[in-house]
Amino acid sequence: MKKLLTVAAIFLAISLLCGCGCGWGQKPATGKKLIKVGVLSSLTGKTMAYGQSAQEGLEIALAEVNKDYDFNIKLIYEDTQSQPKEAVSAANKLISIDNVSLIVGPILSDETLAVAPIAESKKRVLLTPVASAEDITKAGDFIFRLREGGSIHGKGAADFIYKKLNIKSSAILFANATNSITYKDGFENHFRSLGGEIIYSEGYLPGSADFKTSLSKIKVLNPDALYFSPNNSADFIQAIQQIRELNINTAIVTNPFAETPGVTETLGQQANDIVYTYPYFNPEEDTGLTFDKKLQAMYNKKSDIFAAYSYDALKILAIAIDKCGGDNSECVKTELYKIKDYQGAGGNTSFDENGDAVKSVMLKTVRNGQFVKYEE
Amino acid sequence: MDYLIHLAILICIYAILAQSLNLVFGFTGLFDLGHIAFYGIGAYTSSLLTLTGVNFWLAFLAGGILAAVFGFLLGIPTLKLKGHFLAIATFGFGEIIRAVMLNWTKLTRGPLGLPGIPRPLLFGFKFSTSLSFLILIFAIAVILNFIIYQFMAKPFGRVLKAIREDEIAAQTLGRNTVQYKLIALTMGAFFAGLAGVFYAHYINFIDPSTFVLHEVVLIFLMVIMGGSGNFWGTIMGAALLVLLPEPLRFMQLPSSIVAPMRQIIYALLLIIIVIRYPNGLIGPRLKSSRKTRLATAEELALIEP
Repeated sequence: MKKLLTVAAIFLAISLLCGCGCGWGQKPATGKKLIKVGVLSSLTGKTMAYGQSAQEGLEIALAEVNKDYDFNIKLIYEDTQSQPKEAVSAANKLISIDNVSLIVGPILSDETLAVAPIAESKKRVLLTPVASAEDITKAGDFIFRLREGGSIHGKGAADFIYKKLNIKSSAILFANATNSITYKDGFENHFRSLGGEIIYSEGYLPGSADFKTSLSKIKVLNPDALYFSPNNSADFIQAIQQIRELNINTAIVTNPFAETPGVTETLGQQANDIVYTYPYFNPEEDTGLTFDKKLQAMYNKKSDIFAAYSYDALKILAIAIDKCGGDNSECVKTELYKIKDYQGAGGNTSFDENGDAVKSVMLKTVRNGQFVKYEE
Repeated sequence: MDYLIHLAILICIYAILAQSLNLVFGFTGLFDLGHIAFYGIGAYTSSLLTLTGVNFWLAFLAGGILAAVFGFLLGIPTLKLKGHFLAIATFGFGEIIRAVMLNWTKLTRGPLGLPGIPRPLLFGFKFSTSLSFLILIFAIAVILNFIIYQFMAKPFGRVLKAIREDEIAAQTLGRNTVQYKLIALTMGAFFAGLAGVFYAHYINFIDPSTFVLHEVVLIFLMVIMGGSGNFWGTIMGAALLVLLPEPLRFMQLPSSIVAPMRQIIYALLLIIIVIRYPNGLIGPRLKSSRKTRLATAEELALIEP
């Protein structure tokens, strides 16, 4: 019994200590209405880098929103640890304890799918900046996403190979993970519907360092094109190096993971002429460029989709909050559906009737160590 | 409030799972690093069945039974191994099951997971609110733990403990230790499978990433920190490990370091607790001394074979 009491005492002590607020949080400017917005992000765990980028984008947006509008937003961050189960606990805490009606995040598709039913049943708006799984489209009325579904990328790649390159048969190599499979399925279905033939399709476990077995088989088949769908840049780099080593001569088309910091530095000339689809997002133009400058100034990093889309997410929510005069979730939800042609750091956004952003993809390629738009 | 109800539900589910591991590891001393696989088999089986329209309770039983079958199949070749080798072999099994979950995409949808798993249905009543689900899982947890407790209190439990303490002594007293270990593993797998069923039907979404080594370590912590081999200790361990990271959410820290700091503090707390309570929160009922080992052997001799 004594031990139990000690344990209970420890618990109580920690809770009181933390609850009273070691208060280094942001202090809202006095006088303005305070709106709490929850954030579900993978701040630790295997996708920590994306969570960091997202956080940076959100912080920049937060400063601007609190200056421009007559309300102040307070962000309450909860870490999902890159795991769906933790995301569910975090979401429950945000909804029942902090009582937020608006949530930005999560970043990962599987976390979003686990959390969506909770947000939907409690009627809270959930806006995920980048999750790409197909199932999110039908996840609920209150569920929105800023990213186009992954299969649009696959379709874009299929169109490119079949129509532009005039190649009718292709091999596929893909990582066995949610997002990479979404891209691959989009590619495979559309390529087949165009009349193309898939001569080889193999999945690998993310993190495998050795692709030689699959690549040797591909070399024997000698396809004219290869659609490669990885789910992280480390695998991408390894695979490309091995493709070049084995001297496989084929047109390589891949998904947005090609454009990650470090890829061109490591691959050098080996990356040349690889074509990939990317969310229509141009840090070299207008709003994208403005955001890139801000990110460089504050955090000394180049813009990426996690930062840019999270930035847009908060700014779009702010527009809806402003129109509603508060954070009533029914009102915000209606306003979000009305968003059309919002020009943001992540390009042009409009929400369709499912709460998905209607965004286009662009083709990019690597030329002399630079990621550039694909020109004929 | 829903947040606390959510934590209570997790404690109940983990109480069943940890108790099943307690049966295998705490009582019988089998270092089963693949135990999470049974949890996963239960989860996937019942999810797939209910998603195709099978009655929840049938799926519930099916999940447990299939997990038990795998426990049995795992036991036959591996239970002759001891200590570290058993750990590696069972870990390998766990990885095989996870690889199947990940790659048999026609059945399990691989990494995309299974969304939309329905809540349990009893005589037309659907347990869709958190509170109703809590009442259900609490009742189930009580029943299942009671069953395990009954097994432990009987001579069967004492033989298992004897095997853990000194397998050769138990053998010399005429006990077919391999048979007992096999039964223990199969039972442990059965209950773990049942826990998995409720996990899947609560979170309504499962994917292979839930059933990894990280989770197994968590359950082992629950058993060990609660007190290996102790029935109530394991339940307390489950409560401890579910609740421990939660107060940390309320810590106000600069947002740039809040998440990593929480993990660091969580780790520090774990270390402090283990140092302070080296025998677990409750401590094993039987200390592993020569005196009590003789006592166990005596007790065994008194049991009719």
